[in-house]
Amino acid sequence: MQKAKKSLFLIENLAFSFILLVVGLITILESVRLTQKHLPKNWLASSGGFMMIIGAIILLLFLFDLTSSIKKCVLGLKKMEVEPEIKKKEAKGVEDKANLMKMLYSFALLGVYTIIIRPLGFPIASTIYIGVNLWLLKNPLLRTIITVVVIFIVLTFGAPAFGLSLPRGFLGI
Amino acid sequence: MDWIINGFSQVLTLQNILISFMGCFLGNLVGVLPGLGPTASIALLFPFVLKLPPLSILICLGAIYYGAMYGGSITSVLLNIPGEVASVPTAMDGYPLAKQGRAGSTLLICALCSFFGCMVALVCLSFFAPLLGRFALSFGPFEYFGLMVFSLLCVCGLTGKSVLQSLAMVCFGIVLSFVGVDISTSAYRLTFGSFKLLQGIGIIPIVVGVFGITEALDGIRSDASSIVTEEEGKFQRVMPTKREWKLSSKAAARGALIGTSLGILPGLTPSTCTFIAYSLNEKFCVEKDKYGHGAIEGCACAEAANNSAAMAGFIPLLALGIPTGPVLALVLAALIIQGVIPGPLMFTVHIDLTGAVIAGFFIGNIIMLIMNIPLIRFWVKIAKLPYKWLAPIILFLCMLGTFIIRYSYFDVWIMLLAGAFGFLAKKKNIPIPPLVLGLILGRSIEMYFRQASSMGFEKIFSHPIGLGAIVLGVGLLISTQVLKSKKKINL
Repeated sequence: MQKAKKSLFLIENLAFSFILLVVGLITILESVRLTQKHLPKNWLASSGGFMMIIGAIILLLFLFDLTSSIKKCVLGLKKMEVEPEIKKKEAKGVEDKANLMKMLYSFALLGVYTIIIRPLGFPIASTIYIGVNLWLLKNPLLRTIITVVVIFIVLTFGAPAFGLSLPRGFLGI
Repeated sequence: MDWIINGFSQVLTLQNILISFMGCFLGNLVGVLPGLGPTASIALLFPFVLKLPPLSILICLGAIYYGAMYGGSITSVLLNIPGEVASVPTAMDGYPLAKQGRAGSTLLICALCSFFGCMVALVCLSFFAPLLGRFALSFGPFEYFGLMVFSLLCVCGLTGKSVLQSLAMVCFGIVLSFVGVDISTSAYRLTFGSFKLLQGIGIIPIVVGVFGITEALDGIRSDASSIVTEEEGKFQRVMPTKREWKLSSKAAARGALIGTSLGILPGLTPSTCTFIAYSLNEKFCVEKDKYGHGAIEGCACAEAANNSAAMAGFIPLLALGIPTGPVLALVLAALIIQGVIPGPLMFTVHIDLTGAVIAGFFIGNIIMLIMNIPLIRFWVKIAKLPYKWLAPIILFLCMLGTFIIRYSYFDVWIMLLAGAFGFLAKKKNIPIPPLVLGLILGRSIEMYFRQASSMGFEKIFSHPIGLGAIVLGVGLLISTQVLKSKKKINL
């Protein structure tokens, strides 16, 4: 448990440095590729010149960020060893976890919503998404039904009236 | 001033007045919702507004902006919910006043001071923006490059806890702006062989993702509706007393002056200007003992400063094409998408449009003042809507708004990715505005850099404005980093 906590702590603190490293390297490599491909006379004014400068700045920032993150990690890990158990208020913790799960489900639902737009069409996919998300967030049934019906009517009949042509999916109308 | 008079004649049409009214209404509507400030309001409504012509876009975005700001004030006074950071001082003084039964007079003072602040900034905009624009006609790539770097460095220095992280976010934004076909050389950059990336990464999916989706997800996680208190401010008397008028008018004048002067500077968002004005006002206020827990002077100053700073930001935006914060970066993006590039040409080639925009802001403010006072009770009801109902609707609007711009599923995925990134960044206190500013200004900065490089970059030493701006920006960045590391300030 303690090991998992430590790993999570390290990932949280080093993630930004890692992103900086990846973005910086990609930018510099792309700049080098462009320079080699086009062989410009004035490198600074070419497609890769400014890109190289930005890539270099990102890598420099990576070094600074890595240094401060390592310091933070060392201090944090030492603190964890000294105070291994930090008891949180249980009730609040449970509530936070429930809200976090609701948020994650809502976000995952957005992904599913995007996938089902093409086959089902925008009005039906949106109606399903809103209905499921309202239910997931524990809205009263009547409120959920009214919202879903209103959204479906607006998207099916209202949107075309405003010149919005939304994909209709298998209905193909 | 003929151009402003011409502007009024263009704006005073039923269509533009309706657009202004709708902008104020929608801005207020989104602004009163818990957790959604002006930036999120504009990001949410941004894709829908883009269907309008350039003049209507500016009028509408301006109206949404000050509508959302005033929406935050209503909930601050009546429910102690500052919709955004700039409304915190209003909540500190307004809510105790509302509890004393003076909600009506406090809201009236807030509305009038917001209006006054906007008007002062608009007068400055009408006088100073053309002068600045004419002066900027002599600017070349060195000056623009310097000013844009200054603008980005200011935003980095003044947002977030770490300057390094802000700088990194600006760089990320610039890297995103590289994606696609290079206009000058037609080279494919950072496309990784993907056909979809050839057209570049759209501003709208990123903006809607990092502001709209992030705010909605954060609202679900923090259960935003739980911050709504049951106790509601009471309306006993709407008309302020003579003393309140006197105290408020002086405080509003101070707020408007400070807000307008600071609002012009890049990086100083209305929230920062409001806090500076509010704390400076304390030294001059009469009811010092009540300041911060029920002084009408506090509300008056904060509201005037907030709105004047918001409006003053349009001076560098229209005259130089430089946004001072994320909201104005979105306005700039909207104009660029419509083919209008803000800058000195706004006061020569596009003078009719500029005059109409300023006239539109004048009219929009009057509409907001007239519209808001009878609608206060309605906004309070909206503010009490449960977030568990609002969140799916907001997420759906984000999806619809992003999708209808290009009917692209790819854009929707980009928006979702940006939303996830924005949420994680917010959780780790990494500032988002520098990313958006970097993305929006990225292409322009690169263009000016390349033009300057073609002329010989060493020539920047013979361009004092460009060089001075960069040196000033770097100096500001270093000094804020030093101060932040000593934990003296946390803007």
